[in-house]
Amino acid sequence: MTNSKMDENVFKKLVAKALKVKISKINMKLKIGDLKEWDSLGHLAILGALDKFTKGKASAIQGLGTTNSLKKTWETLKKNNLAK
Amino acid sequence: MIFGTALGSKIFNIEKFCNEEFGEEKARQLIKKTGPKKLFICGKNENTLSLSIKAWYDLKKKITPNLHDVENIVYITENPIRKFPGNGFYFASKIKIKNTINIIDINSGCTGFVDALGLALELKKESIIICSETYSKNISKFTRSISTLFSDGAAAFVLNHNNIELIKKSYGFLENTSNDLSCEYNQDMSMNGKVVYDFTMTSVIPNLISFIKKSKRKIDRMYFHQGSRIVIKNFKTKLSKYCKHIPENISLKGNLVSATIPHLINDDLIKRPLKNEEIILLCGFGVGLAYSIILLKVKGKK
Repeated sequence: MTNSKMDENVFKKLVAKALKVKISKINMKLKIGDLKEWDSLGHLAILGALDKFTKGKASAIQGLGTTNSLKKTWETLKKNNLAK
Repeated sequence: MIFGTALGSKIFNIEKFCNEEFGEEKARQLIKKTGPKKLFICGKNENTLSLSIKAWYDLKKKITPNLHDVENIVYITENPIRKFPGNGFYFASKIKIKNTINIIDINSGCTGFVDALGLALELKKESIIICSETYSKNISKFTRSISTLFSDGAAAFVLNHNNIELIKKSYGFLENTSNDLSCEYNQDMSMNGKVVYDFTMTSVIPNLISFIKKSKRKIDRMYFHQGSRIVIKNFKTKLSKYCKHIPENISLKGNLVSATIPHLINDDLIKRPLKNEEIILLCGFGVGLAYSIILLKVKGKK
């Protein structure tokens, strides 16, 4: 994975890797708690992975940490010009 | 800076408990994020007042405070032994201080020590600062995000204006987040971990960086509230370019709320004593949700 603006596929790969699940389990309709791996610890793992990929830019987005679904997270990243 | 410290007398082995409750892999992941492997919890007969007295006597083993010169007691706790009066009055009676002392009780969380120090520095007189907390009394059943983080403890400090100079301070809070880390009367405390985490990343850290840049000072040490292991890791990642010395003790003691920073400084100074003219930054953050930052200059070696 390169550190350019992420696309949806890269986003899903990052989430799958953070949650330690197969990418086939990841879809944009997922909400926190839908997978047993996506609990509060999994949530921190996702945020950490996004921050690492965006070289620290993701953690500066207000409200990203409180998004409850992948769709919301993805839209927040797009709104802040970190995803395409 | 010399502190007296005290911890709850019972030890809760988080690692063992979580291994049994969640399995070793989940427990390992959890402790990697939270930090402490064990926590110090109050016994049945311990409370914020008894812990603060214990911390005071620990301080008196190290120094002999001149109580005649002390004009203020600033007592920080969110768990006073009674709704009123504040613990400060009980504490003052216990240590047999003069009855003209100005007693200030403050209900403050993780920003407590920084709040108290900022206030005491403005008061211009010598002050005793007490931070004492027993969050375990607000937790009746195990909750993964709360029960694995907080220890009970206290710290005592006597501010001598000849040893510390205030350079700059800054405070802030995030509106409409007060219930996200709170405790209602006769109920367990609650914490919205996502909101608190978001607050540290998008409010505390950016404001801290802005504060540091505006201060235009080379900072020798930074002491941050030990919220959790992951929060400290984030702070270190974002702030290590501004200061090389950012100690942590979350793994050893847990989050001691307002007593965290005093314990952290105390533990750090054992290994690395302060030098004259050193510039140190303290940052507390949490309940409010709020942050308090203070920049100090050390005068004399202590």
